[in-house]
Amino acid sequence: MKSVYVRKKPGILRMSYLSFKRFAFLFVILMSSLILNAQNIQQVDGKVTGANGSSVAGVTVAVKGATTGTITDDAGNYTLKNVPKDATIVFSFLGMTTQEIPLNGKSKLDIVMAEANIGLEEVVVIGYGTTKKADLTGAVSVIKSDELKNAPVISVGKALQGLATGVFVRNSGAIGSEPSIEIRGIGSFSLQTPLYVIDGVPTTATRDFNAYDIESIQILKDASAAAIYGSRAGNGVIIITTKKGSSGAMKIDFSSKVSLQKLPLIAQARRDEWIKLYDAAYDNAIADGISGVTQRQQHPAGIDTDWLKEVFHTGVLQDYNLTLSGGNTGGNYLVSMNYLDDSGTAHGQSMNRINFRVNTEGIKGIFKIGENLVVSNTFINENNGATIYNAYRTIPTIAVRDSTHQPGGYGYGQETSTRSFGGNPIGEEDLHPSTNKNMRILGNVYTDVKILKSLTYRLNAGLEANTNNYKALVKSGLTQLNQPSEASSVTESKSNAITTLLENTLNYKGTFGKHNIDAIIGTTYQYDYNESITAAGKNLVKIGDYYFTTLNNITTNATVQGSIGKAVLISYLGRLNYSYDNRYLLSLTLRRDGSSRFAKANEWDNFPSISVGWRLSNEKFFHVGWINDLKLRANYGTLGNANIGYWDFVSTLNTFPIAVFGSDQHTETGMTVVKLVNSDIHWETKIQKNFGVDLAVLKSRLQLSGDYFISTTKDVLTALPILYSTGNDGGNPYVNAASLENRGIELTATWKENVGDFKYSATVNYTRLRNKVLDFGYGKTTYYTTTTITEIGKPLGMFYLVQEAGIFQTQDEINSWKNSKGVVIQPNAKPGDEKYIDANDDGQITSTDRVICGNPWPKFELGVNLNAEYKNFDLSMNTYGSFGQDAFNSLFYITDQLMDEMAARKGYDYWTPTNTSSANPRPLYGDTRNGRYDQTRWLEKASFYKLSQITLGYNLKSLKFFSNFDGLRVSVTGQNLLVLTKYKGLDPDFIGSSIWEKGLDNYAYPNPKTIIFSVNVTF
Amino acid sequence: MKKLLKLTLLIIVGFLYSCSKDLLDVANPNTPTSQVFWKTENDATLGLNAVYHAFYAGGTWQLNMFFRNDLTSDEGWSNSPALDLAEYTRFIYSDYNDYNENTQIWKYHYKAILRANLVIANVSNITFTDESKKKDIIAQAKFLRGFYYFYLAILYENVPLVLNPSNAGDAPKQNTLTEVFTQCIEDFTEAAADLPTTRASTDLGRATKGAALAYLGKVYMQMGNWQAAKDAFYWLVEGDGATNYGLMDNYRDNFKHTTENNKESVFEIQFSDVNQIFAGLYGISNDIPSSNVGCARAQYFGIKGIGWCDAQPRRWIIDEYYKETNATGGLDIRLRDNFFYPNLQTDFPGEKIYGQDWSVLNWGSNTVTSNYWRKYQNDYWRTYENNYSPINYRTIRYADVLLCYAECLAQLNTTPPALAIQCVNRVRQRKEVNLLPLESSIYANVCTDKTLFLNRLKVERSLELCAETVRWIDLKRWKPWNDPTEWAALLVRDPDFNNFVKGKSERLPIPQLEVDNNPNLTQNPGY
Repeated sequence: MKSVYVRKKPGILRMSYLSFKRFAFLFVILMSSLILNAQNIQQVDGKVTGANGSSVAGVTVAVKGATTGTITDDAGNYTLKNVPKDATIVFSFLGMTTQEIPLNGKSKLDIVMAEANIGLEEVVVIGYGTTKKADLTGAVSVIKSDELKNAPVISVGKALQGLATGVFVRNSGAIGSEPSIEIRGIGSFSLQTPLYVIDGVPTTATRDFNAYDIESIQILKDASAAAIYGSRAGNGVIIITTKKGSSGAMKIDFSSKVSLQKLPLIAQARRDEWIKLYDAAYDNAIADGISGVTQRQQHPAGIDTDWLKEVFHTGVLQDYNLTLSGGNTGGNYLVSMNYLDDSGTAHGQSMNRINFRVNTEGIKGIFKIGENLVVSNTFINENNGATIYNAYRTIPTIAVRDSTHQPGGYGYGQETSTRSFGGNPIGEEDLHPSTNKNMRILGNVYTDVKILKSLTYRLNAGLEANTNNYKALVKSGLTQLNQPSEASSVTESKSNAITTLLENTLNYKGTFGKHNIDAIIGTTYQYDYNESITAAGKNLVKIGDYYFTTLNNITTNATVQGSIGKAVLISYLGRLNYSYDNRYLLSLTLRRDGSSRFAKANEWDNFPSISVGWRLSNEKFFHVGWINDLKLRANYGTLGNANIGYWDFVSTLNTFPIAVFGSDQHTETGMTVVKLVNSDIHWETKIQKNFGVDLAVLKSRLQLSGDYFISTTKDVLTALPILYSTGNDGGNPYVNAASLENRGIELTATWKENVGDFKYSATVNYTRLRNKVLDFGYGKTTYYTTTTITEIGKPLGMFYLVQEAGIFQTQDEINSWKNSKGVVIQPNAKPGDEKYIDANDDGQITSTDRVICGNPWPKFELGVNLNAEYKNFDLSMNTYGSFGQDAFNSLFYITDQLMDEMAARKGYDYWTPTNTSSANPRPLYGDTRNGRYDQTRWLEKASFYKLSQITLGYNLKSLKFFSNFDGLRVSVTGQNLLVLTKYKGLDPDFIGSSIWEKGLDNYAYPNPKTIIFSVNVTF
Repeated sequence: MKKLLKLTLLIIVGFLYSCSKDLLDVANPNTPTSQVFWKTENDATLGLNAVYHAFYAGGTWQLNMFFRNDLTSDEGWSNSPALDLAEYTRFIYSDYNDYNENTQIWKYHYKAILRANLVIANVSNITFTDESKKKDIIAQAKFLRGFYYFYLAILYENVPLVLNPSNAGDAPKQNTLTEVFTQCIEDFTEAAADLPTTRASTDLGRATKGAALAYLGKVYMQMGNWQAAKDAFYWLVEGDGATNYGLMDNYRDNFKHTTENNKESVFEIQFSDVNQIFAGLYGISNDIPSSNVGCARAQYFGIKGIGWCDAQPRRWIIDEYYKETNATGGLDIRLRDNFFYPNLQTDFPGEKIYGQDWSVLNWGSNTVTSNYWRKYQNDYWRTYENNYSPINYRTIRYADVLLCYAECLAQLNTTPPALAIQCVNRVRQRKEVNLLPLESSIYANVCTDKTLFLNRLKVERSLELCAETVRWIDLKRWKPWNDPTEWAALLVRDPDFNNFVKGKSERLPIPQLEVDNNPNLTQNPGY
C-alpha cells in the first residue's frame, strides 16, 4: 500500500514519453501522405523586376496552399518545379506588395513588384469589425504572430512586455502565473486587467491559452478604439484573433519547444557563517538584557541544510504543438493540438495543459457560417503560500527530515537549539498538497448574411464554460516549532462558470465617390452564471501511510457550502466610420450598457466617443517628397467599468454565526449583517482624450507614431477601506469614491529595410506615464498602508517610511541624537544600532515618523526590439527597460533583520566595534530596533534594463535532405539572460503587492533565466 | 432579397424590444437581504445570537483579550519569537497598526458593537406576543454593548461611541474615557433592569441581572465611585441575588469544561470544541460555516512542546503562594492549579504535566523561562492542546465580586469593616483552599489598617484571579505608577514596566489607520 500514493516527480522523460510517441506516430503518417501526393504538374519559371526595371533578388515565390516554393536569384530569376497547372503563384517580399497570380496553364510568368506603402493597407481588428490601418483614428497597437513565435509559451500576456507602448507588464516566475498587465496606467481601483476578446467573445486572460493559435493581437488603448466595448473597456481591450486555414492543400505545422529554467537566487549563509551571525545576535541581546534571552543557542551538530538546493531546481518546460489547416473557396479549417508540461522551479510545483482547437468557416451563397472552438484542460499544483518567503524563513541548522518528529518526520525548530518558527518548506509541500484542475471550453458560432453587397448581418453566439476542481489535502504532520497537531483533512471545491453571449450586428459598407462609410449597429446580451460547492472534512481514512482522499473518507467534521452568482449585461452599440477622399476621417461610437450589478435606478449608462483624423500627406498642397504618409488623430470618449460583485448594492445577511448555550453546550444559529453596503453605487466612467500622429518617411522605411493622452476616471468603484469603528467586516463595501488621472506619452519608431539577402528591422517603444489621485471618497485626503501613502494630487502608493540615517558609531552620538526640545530620541540604542530620523520631532521613533521617501512608478519605460534575417539565419532580440522607480525589498527584511531566527545572506557584513564602516547594524536577537519593517533600510532604486529575449534561428529547408518541407526551422532562445540593475532583491521585474503598494516586492517569485530549444516544421 | 432584409431588420428590432429591462432583475439566490429581516421574533433571536457569536474571534475572546489583559499586567509576559506579540506585552509599540496585537482587537470589538446596535435599533419595532421576551433580548444586547465598550475603555480609553447601526461612510467622533464609562453605566443599568436573575438550563450563557450588576460595579470602581460600585454589587453579595451565587469547593472547577456554569460563574463565555475547523488567521475566523466556537488560549498559553508558549507567568506570583500555608500546613492548592513550574511534582506529589514528568520533558532549565500557565489548560483530560479548547471562560467569577465588594467597603470606611474581611475570608477559605482567616493568618495586621488591607487585597486578588483578565483592569484602578514605593515593587515583579511611560502606556495606541482615516479621531497622548 505504501507505494500507491507517489507524487509525480517533475521530469522531462516521465511526463513526455507517451505524448512524444503519439506525436511521432502522427508525424510519420502525415509525412508519407505528403510524399505519395501526385498531381497534374508542370514547371514554371520567370523573372521578377522592380518598378524601375531592375531585377529583384530574394523574392519568395510559392505555390499558394501547397508546399513548393523558392526564392529569386541575383538576376531575379526563379524556377518552380512540380507545379499544378491550376495553381496560383504567390510572390512576396518584405516591403513590397504581395501578388498572387493564377497560372492558368502558363509555364512562364514574369512580374513587376511594386513597393508597398508599408503597413497602411494592413487590416486592424477593432471590435465588431475591421479597418485599414490607414483609416485608424484611435490608438491601437498591433502585434503579429511572427513577433510571438519566440515568446514564452505559457501566458500570452508575458509576451507583450516591451512590444507595445502604453502597456505596462510585470511578470512572475511562479508556475502557471499570469503577468500583471495595465494599459495606460491604473484607471480603476477594483480591477486593472484589460478586457480580453478572443474571436469576438469577451473573456479573461488565463494561462490555458495556446500561444500558437494566435494570428494577431490588437491592443485598443484609447476611448475611441475601445468605446465599442463600452462599459468593460475601461482598462483597455486586448483582442486576440486566432488563425484560420487558408485555401490550398492541408498545411501541417509541428513545433516543439523545450525550456530549461533557472531562478536567480541570493545565496544563503550556510551553517558556520549562519551560526557566527546568530551567536553574535544572541550575545548582543544577552548583553543588552533583552527579556527572555539568557544564553546562546546550542546548535545541533552536523546539520548544514542548503535550503535553496532543497527547495529549488532547474525547471523543464516542454511544449508541443501540431496545427493542421487548409481550405478552398468554399471554406477553410484549422485544427490545432497543444501539449505543455512544466516541472516548475520549486519543490511541490507542476503543471500540464492540453489544448485542442477547431476553427472552421464555410460559405454558401449569401451565408458565411463559422465557428471557433477551443477546449483546454489544465492541471496545476502550485506552492502553498509564498515559496520565496518559506525558503528564506528557515535556517541551515534544521534538517529537512527528522525521524524523531512524528507524525510527519520533518525537521523543524527546537526551543533551545534552533528557535526558528519557519515552517519546513519541504514538509509544508509534502504534507499539504493542493491541486487545481480546470477545463475550459471557449468558442463562438457566427453567421454572416450578406443581405446586400454593402449590408451584412451577423449573428454571433458565444459560450465560455469553466469547470474548476480544487483539492487541498492536509496530512497529519508537524513542520513548525510548537505547532498544534491538526487532524488530517481534505477540502474540495468544484465550480462551474458559464458565460453565454448573443450578439446581433448589422454592418453597412458603402462608397459614394470620395465618401466612404462603414457603419455598424447591434445588440449584445451576456449572461454570467456560476455555481460552486465546497466540501471539507477531517480525519481521513488512512491505511499505513496512504490517505484515501475522496470525500467518502471523511470521518468527522464534514461541512458543505455552496453558492451561486448571476449577472446580466445588455448593450446597444453603434459605430460610424466615415472618410472623405482618404483625407478626412471621422469615427463616432456609442454604446449603451445595462448591468444587473447595480440597483434599478443606476443600471443603465451611455459610453460615447468621437474621433477625427486628417491624412495631411494626401492633401494636394502637401509636397514633402521624403514624407510618405502623415496623419494627425484626435479623439475624446467615455468608457466604463462595473467590475464589482454580483449584488454589491444590497446588504445581505450572514447565516453562519453560531453561539454556544446551555448546560448541554448546544449551538444556536444567528443571523446578521456583516458587510455594509452603499446601495447607490453606479457606473464608473473614464473620460479619455488622445492626440496622435503617424508618420512614414524615407520610402516608408521609417515609421513613427506618437500619442499623448489624458484620461480621467470618475466615480471610481472602490472597495475603499472604511473605518473599523463602523463594525464592518467581510470586505469593504464598494463606493463610487475616487477620481484618478493618468497622462502619458507613447512613441514608437520602426525602421525596416532589406539590403539584398539581409533584412532587418528595429523598433523602439517609449512610454511615459504619470498618475495622480484627484479625489478619495468619504472626504478622505489620504490613504495609508504599512509602507505607502496615497494622497490627493500625488501618485498612488508613494513610499512612506521611517528614514534610516546610518549607524550610531559611539555612545556620544546616541546621547547627542536629540529632538528640538533636547530629548534623546533613541535612549536605548547602543553603538552599532540604526539611527532613525524623528520626523515629527516628538522625541521617539514610531510609525508616525514616516515620510514620503520613494516613488514606485517608473519615470519612463523603453522597449527596443531588433529582428534580422540573412539567408537562412534569423536573429531577434527584445530588450525592455523601466527607469526611475523604487522598490521595497522584503526579502532583505527577512535575511538581514537578525532578530528572529531566519536565513541570512551569504557574506553578510555588519557593524562591530572593529568593523565600523559597515552599512548594516549590529545583529540583535529578540528586539525590533534594527529590524523594523517600515523603514528605508529596505528601500532601493529599482531601475532595470533587461535582455528579455534573444533568439537565433536557422532554416534547414535549403538543405537538400529537407527540401520537401516548406520550412524546417531550428532555434535557440534565451530569456532574461541579462538584467542590468542596481536592485539587490531577486528580480526588479516583479508584480507589486497591490495598487496601493505597487513597489512592494513582497517575496515575489523571480523570473527564471531560461534557454528554449525549438524545432518548427511546416509542410 | 428585400424580403430577407425586412426579415432581418424585423429580427433585430424584435430583439431590441425583447431585451426588456426585466432581464436585468437578477435576484440573489444565496442569502436573504437585510430588507426582509428584523420582522419577526425569530429574527430578533437570530440577530441576538449573532452578537454572542462575536466572542469567537481572535480580536475578542478566542485569543487577544488574554494577551492584552494577562500579559500586559505584571502577572504575565511573553517570550514569543513573534516580536510584535512580545513587544506589545512590554509596552513597546513599534507598529500601531499591528493587526494581530492591536488592529484586530479594535475591529472585532466594533464589529460586536454593530451587531448589538442592530438588535437595539431594530427589535423595538418588532411585535412580540410576550413583551418580557422582547425586553430580555434588548437587555442582552445592551449588556453585550456595555461589555465591549468596557473592555475598549480599559484598553484604549478615548474611543468613539457608536450607538446606532453604522453607515459605510461614518466617521464617528471621539469620546473621553468618562463618556465611555458613562455609556457603559447606562447600558448595564438598563440591562440589569430587564434581565432575569437566572436562566433556564438551555439558556445558560446568556446575560443575567447579576452579570450586568457585576459589570456595573466594575465600571464604577474604575471611576472611583465606590458607593455606586458597592450599591451595584450589593444585590449579588447581600441582596436578593446572593442566594444564586457561591464559591465552588474545588478551585479548579472554575477552569474545567466539565463543571461549567456553576454557582460561582457570574458571566461566562461559552466555548465548545464541536467545530474543529482551522480557518483564517491562526485558525480563528468567524462568520464562516461551522466556525470554531472553541478557545485558542490554551494553545497559545500552552507549555513548550505542547502549545505555542507565547504567554508565561511572572515568577513572583508563584513565590507569593509559598509565603503562607493553609490550615493543615499544606501549600495553597491554587499554586498547583494555576501553574506548571519546576517544583510542581515535589510540592504536589502525583502531579503530571500532560501525563509526563517534568524531568523527562526538559521544559527549560533556567528559572526565567521555566514557569508556565496551567489555568484554563486542558491537561486534566488530555495530553495536547489545540485552537478548539472547550473550556468556558469566566469573565467574572463570584470570588472576583466578593473581593471587589471588600475593596469598595474598605474604600468607603476608615478601617476595614468586618464584612470586607469576611468577603476576603470567603475566598481564602474556599473548602479546598482552606487558608486561615485573614485575621488569624500571618497577615492579621492588615485587618485594622485601611491602606494595608487594600494592599493585601492586591495580592489576594492575584492569588485567586491571576490570568483571568482582571489584573490589568486592577492596575489601571490602583495606578501603582503614581506611588514611588509601589512603582519600585512593580518593577521588581515585572521588569517590562521599565518601558512603561506614565501618561502614555496606561492605554494602547489607537490603530494608526483608524486615526489617519477618521478626521474626528486623534491618537492617544504620547503616541
